[in-house]
Amino acid sequence: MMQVEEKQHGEWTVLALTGKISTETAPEFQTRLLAVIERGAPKLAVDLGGVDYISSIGIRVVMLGLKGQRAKKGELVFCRPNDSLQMLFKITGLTGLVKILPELPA
Amino acid sequence: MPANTIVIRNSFAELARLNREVGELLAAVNASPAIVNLAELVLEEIVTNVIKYGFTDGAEHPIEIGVEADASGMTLSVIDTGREFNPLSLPDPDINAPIEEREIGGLGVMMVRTMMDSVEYRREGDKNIFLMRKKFGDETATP
Repeated sequence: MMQVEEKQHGEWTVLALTGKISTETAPEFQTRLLAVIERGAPKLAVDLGGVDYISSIGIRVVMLGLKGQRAKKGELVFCRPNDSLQMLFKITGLTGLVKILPELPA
Repeated sequence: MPANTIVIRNSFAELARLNREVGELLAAVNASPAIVNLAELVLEEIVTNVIKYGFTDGAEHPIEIGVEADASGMTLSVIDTGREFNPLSLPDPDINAPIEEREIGGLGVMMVRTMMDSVEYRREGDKNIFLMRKKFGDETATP
């Protein structure tokens, strides 16, 4: 239902997600995201290119990630959201809080 | 519109099957992937609330999900016999609050309300009935 893959893209650590971030899969997203942040990834990008949708519990994970990365004084960007995800980020007020990029950071 | 009902138990383990069956029903009317995703998302939000808060006796209860769709639009319904609860009574969360003060409660219902064309709640006897409607063709339009 959801895959998480971690890779290195230049100086960026990329967490690439595929599938649906739902009640069922959000806990894994949370575990993986917070583990990377805890370990230390000053430049962290979440690649949403393969994500169909994020439910409210997934939005909560995004917020937890933002808080965590802020405490570590690191950067956290979200890349390649589809139209519905962009709308969702807007509806939930995340657009003003997170950096959203149309491509992976160079 | 042909109507179809999916009955699940009040357990998160049922969500995967619900998604699969909703996808199949909508595929039958050639709904776009965006519409299928939308239907799965809004049903998950409402059904999750019912599973979490609807029942307090620890027993198994059925939740009925209706999918009525044709080429022009869909009506989704969630019917349960849990305690009386109107999701629309939840206040919208303050989406302008600083991240540290954000509350998660009400976020799912706000998403549903914004993404669907209309939503409606009513109590009939011992049933909570929640309806959501969406016309096809503008599913990715900005609200």
